[in-house]
Amino acid sequence: MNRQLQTIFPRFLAVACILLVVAMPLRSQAQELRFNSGGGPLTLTVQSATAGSEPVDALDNSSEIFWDANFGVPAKMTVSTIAPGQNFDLYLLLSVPSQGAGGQGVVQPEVQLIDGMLDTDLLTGIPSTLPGRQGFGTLEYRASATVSDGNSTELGDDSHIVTFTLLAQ
Amino acid sequence: MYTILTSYGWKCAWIALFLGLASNSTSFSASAQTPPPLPNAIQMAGSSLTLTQSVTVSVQEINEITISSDVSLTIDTATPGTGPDAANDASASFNLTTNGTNKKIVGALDSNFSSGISLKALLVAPTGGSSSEQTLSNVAVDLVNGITRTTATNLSITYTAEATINAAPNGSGESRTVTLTLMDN
Repeated sequence: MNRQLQTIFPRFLAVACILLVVAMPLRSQAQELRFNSGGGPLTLTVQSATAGSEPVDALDNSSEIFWDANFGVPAKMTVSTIAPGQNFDLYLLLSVPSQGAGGQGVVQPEVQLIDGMLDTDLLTGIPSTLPGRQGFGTLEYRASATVSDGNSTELGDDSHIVTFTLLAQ
Repeated sequence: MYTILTSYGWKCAWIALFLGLASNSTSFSASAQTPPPLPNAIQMAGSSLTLTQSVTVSVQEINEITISSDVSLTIDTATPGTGPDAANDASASFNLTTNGTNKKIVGALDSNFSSGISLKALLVAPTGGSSSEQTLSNVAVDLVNGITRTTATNLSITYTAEATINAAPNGSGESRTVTLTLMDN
């Protein structure tokens, strides 16, 4: 019995330590960026106007994004888009509904999403420690088109691939 | 055999434990001692997370037109030797919005006036368009052509009512509805 214990225990200890080696670095460096809700393909449709005025903007706020900026240093979130042959205007505002005691960073003004744009700040100064390190916000999209921009029947829809990036600041 | 396995197991345990402590020590100290990157510094691979979303913007073809007010025209004078004088009114106006190309405005009455009475309309065209005075009837006629991607407000509508000497007096008048339609050319 003792001999069996002497054999099994070191093996168990070895396996446990190896798991510890693998798991600890992952746990200590985990960052996260995901959609809390929505996040799927969106379509914003501009479809009405008052005679004599420009068309009414289309709005969508169905997506909520969550982040955990566990970089060990302050972080930020940026946005960019790829939309070849873009004809219409698209804007994005990150609306952070609640700020913790230490704040969750500085929300930037509404960003215009233009094909090929450089990464543009949506949220800066995300704290490196909890609770401010984590947060969530609503993605408020606004599509706008003037009459001089034309319409999708003649020009086709604009298709954007919007990319959000969470990185050390 | 048992002795060898036991010894081997203990060695593995100690090595793994050592590696674990070393690794943990490295990862913890890295986050504590790594200075923040310089502004606009290029981030090392793996130091950022990305998330993508597909967004489509669709703009429907929009055509809107409104007329400001009703008008009343009275023919009640004549010059001796000629027919009754025409009556004019330019108090009405229209607004329009279109994000389409090559549109036109047509006009029609819900029903024709009595024999000897006619109504003409002249609309001010928005920028880029052209217009001409036309007699209205229950069959639509082109009033403005060449309208493309424009908004306009308070564009004047001038109505002209005419009567021949054969037109019978109609007391308080005949009311008709003028319909303007913004449509493809």
